[in-house]
Amino acid sequence: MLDSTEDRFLYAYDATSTKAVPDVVVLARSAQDVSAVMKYATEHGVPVVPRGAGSGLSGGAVPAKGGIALSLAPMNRIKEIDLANMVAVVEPGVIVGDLQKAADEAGVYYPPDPGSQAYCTIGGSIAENAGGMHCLKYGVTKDYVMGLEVVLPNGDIVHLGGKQIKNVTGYNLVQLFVGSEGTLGVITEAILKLIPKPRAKKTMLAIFDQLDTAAEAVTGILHAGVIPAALEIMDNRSIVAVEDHLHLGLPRDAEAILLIEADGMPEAVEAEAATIERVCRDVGVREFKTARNAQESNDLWKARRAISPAISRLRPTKMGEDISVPRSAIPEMVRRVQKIGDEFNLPIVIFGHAGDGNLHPNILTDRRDAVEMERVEKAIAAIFDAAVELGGTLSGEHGIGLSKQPFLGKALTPETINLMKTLKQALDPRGVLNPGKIWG
Amino acid sequence: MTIVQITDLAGLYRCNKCGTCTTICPLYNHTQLEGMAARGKVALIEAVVDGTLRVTPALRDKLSDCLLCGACKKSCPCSVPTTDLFLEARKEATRELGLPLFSRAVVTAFGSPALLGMGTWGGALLQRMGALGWAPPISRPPYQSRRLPAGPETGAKMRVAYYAGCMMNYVYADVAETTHRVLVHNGYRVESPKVECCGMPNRALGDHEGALRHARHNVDALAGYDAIVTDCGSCGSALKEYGHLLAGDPGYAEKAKAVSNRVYDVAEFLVKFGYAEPERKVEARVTYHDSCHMVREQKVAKQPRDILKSIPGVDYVEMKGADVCCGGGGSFAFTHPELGRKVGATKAANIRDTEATIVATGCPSCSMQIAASLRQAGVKAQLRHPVELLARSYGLLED
Repeated sequence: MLDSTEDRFLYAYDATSTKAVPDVVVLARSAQDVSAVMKYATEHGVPVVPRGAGSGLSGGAVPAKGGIALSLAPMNRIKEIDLANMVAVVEPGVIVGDLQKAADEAGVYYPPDPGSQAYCTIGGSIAENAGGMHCLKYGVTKDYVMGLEVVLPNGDIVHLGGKQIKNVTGYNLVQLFVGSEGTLGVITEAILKLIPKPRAKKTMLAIFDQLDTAAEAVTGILHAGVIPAALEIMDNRSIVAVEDHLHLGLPRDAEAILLIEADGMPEAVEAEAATIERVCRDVGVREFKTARNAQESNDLWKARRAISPAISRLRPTKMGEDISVPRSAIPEMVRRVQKIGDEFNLPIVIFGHAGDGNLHPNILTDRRDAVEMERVEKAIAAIFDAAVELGGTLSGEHGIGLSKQPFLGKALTPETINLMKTLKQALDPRGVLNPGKIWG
Repeated sequence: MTIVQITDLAGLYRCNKCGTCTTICPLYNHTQLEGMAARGKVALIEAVVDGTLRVTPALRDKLSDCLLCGACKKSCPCSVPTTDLFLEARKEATRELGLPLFSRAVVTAFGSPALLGMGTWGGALLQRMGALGWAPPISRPPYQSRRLPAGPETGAKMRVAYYAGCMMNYVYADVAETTHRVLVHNGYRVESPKVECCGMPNRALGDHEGALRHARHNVDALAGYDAIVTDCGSCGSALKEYGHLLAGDPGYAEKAKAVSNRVYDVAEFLVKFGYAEPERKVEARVTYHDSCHMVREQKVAKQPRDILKSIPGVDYVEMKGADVCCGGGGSFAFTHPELGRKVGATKAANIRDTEATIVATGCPSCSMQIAASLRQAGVKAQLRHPVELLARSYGLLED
């Protein structure tokens, strides 16, 4: 337990620009530790905010109402990689990237790969139902959670699901906790599905003069029977920012770049890559490159990976949004966001996952400038309105937490929110777990 | 009063707490404590700048939970100058609170040749009596008391000042002598002007005034040479910083810049200006550890490896995580012994995996820390400076 002023300040933030100082920090080493904390908290009505790496992008780990910041980071053992059943049993503080490495070394694959995979934890990625770049083909975190050990607000330790692939014994409670943002229970162990490792992969980069052509290519690829492992899009402003930063020779006037990856058996990958190239050329791609080896593949990914460093040089603060729209609405969504940027006089770059419709408009600003931040708030509201209008939603993979909470009513009906609150009330009658999140 | 003199405020506020700095931090990896990672310390500095947190001894202790290895600065996607900010914050904390006793002892010792000389004389004596087994064997007398050939007075390729840092002069004097002899062997004129401590301990512990004092003395002593060569990664990076450190001092700015621009690590120097081909075989399996100051501050990584690989008989093998901090961190291993040991154990395990018989590194602090870690882990490999292997190949040193 840590309770010095300095230590409390160290557990006040996550990767959003909000912070709230907890009253005390508890480092959990076992489910029993967590259970003791929850019992005490429920008895005394003290808020508890579970926390993994504190790398969340919606304020989920920010102790909005003070109380206990409960760090699960020390529980970081990979307990088992069970190859016979293709599952991993892990503690919540395991870094997603470490699990991927361990799986890879064992010859298997754990696909969910949020951008923060090198430092985010399994517990946090389950609580936020994190996605990543490979969701179109491989699904998101929820598709890999087979079982959970959860500590309930009253301190009970429950075991849900398991290593079985088929299981209809009782409610599917595992999924209740996936994406629950630390409001229903504290995950203390997870059983995760592993799949065979793709034997080969191939990376391609396609540059388009027009956004619509890029969108046509995306649809065309799927219609041609190929589900790419990754299908990433960068808009014109991302391209310009990266080009200014790294001078890779990207055309500054192109409206979109698609990064495409095919994976699987070597022969299948060859065939899929050929199909992808043909579709892109048919719709009128401006330039198409295929990496011939790992080094070249790395070079192609460089443009995508450089977006964050590139834009962080332009302004001190970036507000990363996470809207999710039906795939067909991507070009229109991108255009609307660009218009919103012009309207509020804010630089906004857009990149994201073209394959699944999850876009990350990043507003570049300076959080010390209160006047500008007001415009930022309005721009964010406008972006949400546009997303919902186009049949989309507020968040694809970051969660609602604190930052999107004022907008929840835009995406969900009062009846839906009520159902969620009823569940919350049943599990956490005193409202001690992560209060102030999702609906306030 | 608060820390308000953070010069790169934009750099401070660029931190969006993404978390990239957590898992690349050797200290975070061993503790999972937020305060160990760069973003934690950045958050504390922010809070002080914003006026929500005061500068207290507890805060200063938090700022000292850092090896200054620079891994976070290198991999920060938002280019937050983490370690520079920490040094500045430590400096401001000192201004506010004064230097704590341990730091005062360190900078006083490094500031005084008499104390260092006496200390190492006594240390060597104790070692002969079997005590101080944890410390590196102290070679006596100090390098600067030794009379060594200086090379040709006229017609030399270059007139070089060998900067004998405190550790090299007083503890690793034999290595210092070897560096000297290797330079002479290669046709350079080598002089060793009377220098003071490079000021790195002062900077790390927040004694800014002391750092400036040493810098001015050394700039005076080192001006006018064709090159300044050092065999200590930390001294080298401190000397190369003099230009920045004294930029605001009208009497020294130009001179300091000129000196800094001529500073080379010995491996960097030999590769850039040429060295005689190594001849004799040195039969050893060798791996190389990058000192933090060498690889991330001076960006010297390839040259020492090139030299090692150019020696006949050397079976060079790269270790896993060669550029990850060994846990020494200057005085860190003394102020944080348990953490230093944990970080050191990881390094020792990586060395064990290479099955190397010799670990080469260009930094006395790393050398000391790694030797201790290897001893603890029961790994037999020996620590050597790259120039020692080169000297063996030249026939200047016995095996």
